[in-house]
Amino acid sequence: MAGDARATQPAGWLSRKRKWLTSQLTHLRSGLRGFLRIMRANPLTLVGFVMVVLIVSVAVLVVLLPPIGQALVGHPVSILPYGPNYYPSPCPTRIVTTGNYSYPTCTLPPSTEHLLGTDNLGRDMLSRVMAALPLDLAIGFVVTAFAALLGGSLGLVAGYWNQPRTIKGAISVAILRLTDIFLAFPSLVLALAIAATLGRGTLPTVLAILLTWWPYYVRLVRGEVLVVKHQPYVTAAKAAGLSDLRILIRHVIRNILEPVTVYYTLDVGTVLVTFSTISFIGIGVPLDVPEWGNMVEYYQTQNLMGIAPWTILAAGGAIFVTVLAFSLLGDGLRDVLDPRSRRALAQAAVPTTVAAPAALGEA
Amino acid sequence: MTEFLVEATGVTKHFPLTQSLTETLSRQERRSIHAVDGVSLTIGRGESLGLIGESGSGKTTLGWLIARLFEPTSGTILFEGRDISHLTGRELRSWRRKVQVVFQDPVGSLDPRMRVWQIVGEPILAQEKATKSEIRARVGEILPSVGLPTGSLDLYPHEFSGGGRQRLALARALILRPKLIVLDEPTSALDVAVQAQVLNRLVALQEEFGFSYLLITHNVAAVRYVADRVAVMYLGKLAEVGPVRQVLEHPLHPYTKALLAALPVPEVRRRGARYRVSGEVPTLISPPPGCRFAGRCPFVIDRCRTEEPLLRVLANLPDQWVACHRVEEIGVIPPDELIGEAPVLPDRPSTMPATPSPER
Repeated sequence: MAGDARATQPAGWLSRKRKWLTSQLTHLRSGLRGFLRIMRANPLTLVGFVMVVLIVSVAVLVVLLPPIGQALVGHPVSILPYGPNYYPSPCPTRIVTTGNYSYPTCTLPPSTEHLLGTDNLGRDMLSRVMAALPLDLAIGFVVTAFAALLGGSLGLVAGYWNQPRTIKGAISVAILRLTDIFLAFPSLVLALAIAATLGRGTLPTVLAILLTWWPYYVRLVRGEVLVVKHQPYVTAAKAAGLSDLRILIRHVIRNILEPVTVYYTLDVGTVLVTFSTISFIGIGVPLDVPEWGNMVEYYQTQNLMGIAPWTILAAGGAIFVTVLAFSLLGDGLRDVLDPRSRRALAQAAVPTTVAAPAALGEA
Repeated sequence: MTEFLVEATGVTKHFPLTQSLTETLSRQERRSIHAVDGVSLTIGRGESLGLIGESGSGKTTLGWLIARLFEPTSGTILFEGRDISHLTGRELRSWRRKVQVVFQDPVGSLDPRMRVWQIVGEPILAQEKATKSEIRARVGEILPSVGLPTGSLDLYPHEFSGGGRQRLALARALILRPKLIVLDEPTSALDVAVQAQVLNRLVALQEEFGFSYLLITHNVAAVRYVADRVAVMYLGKLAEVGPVRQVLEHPLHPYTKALLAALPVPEVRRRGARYRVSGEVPTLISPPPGCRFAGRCPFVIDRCRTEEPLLRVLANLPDQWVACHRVEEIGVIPPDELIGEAPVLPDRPSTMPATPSPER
């Protein structure tokens, strides 16, 4: 029957569309198979990848479930066990004894009811850590992405058009000197200074990191561009008649994307830590916004390390796990993005005795 | 329409050196490397010109000048009668379809992140509006002519051997059917067997498509095999130009003789017994007046140090141009006899010697 339908169908857009769709599907399937092979050959990357997927999906659920629930069942639904700032009043207490003093406190150790325990106000730590996830992740990704875009484009310009004694060369020098000025300050100190000037809040903190983060990408990208620019294949492209802009897009960006992506992935973690540090020092996001660095700072000032270490460990652990996940993924990406090692990995992972098709071309 | 495809006249390329601050302040003249200094040569349509010389003699620079990867400091290059020496921008880019280059390094000149069809199809992309499938089709057509399977369109360059990569570079140069292909050491990275394959392919392709070649190489055997004419370069200047058999078998210029005598010969008895020139290759920064070879030439006379010899043709050897003041005296001495120390020459022959002995 299906065969009949195909036979009677004119060679119209529908059959073409189907053809395209099947070709896309086979493409996807072979791509997926290659991906799995690479992951199997490189287990740590797989671990990093799974962690990142889990972290991102939790963040997405935390953000999207309440409005979806509101729309579907009329009230917000959440995967958080409790509200991030909800505390029972009066809270269930336990008695803590330090030295000669005994006093009641709302901090409860981890239990089935509160998987990560509660803090000094009786708030559920698991809920708090999860509620902070979207914000921290967005900061890690978005701030780093902006820094990479800004610094990366400046680095491209500075690296590619660096002929001395021309206007372009002068622009390139100007970019580099500006970068040097920013790099002369320790980035954390500069970020702290900017954040302190702009005042407490999420946006000022984000701005502060953005303003201090781009120079690293200028340096990174410029260095890579200088290497790629002098590769014979760039000269070959010029000899073919490609314009500068097309060489830049076709060869230069393609070849510097790998180190930049890897650096970016690793940097997501660093930005996260910096953001948390700014909050930790007390000039970042306001206290009522759940944020990991903020939590570590707050619980530390409440002297909870001694009597309720789970509070600080939960927030600090969240930072640690997230940064670790991205670092593992970033390391693995380095291998995956290079076509040379990509093939090698994929072949190494296949238990086969067939020789690699490297001898092709020897006709 | 002129007779020649390429007609270079007095082509010069100087690379200025970076000045130190004190030099700039004391208004010293900017020094430069005279990589190519007043070279004039022609390449005919469908002709292969071999360009030989030692490292640093400016062979590659000259090739890049003719392919306009460098802009000449002075002099003109006519291509099909049109002056291309100072083309820029769009005009230069569209002119490039007529001249393609095969680079020395078959690994580096292929972008490791691109597939075969993207690499070989790049000139099409640069010169024409073509869709992906058109480019793929045309690349698929050209691959067999360099001896690569059509099915390798989606491979990466690292999946090829050295010879395979050089063929890819060749295919990229061929795909637009250019008038001239500049081959910059196309075989230096390859082993002898693959060299032979590539050279055979070059000759076959020339017969098929009728390109002109500019073959830049150290490899005299390759020149002998591929080229119609050969030009010998020394320190940015041409020493000798002529038909390949004539120059290689009866070199006239002392430098050509030395270069050819330095070739290894698979004959045990001849080891050690070679014509040698002593001394170092002088620097290309502000070279002295006179003959460039004067410092090392065993036949040097005072005139060589003051007056620069121009390329001239000998009465009895048309087509063979030599830049040497004393060629009439030295020219006939076969390199084999120039062994060890420079031989003592007869004082001054009253007559110009005849053509080199026919049995050689």
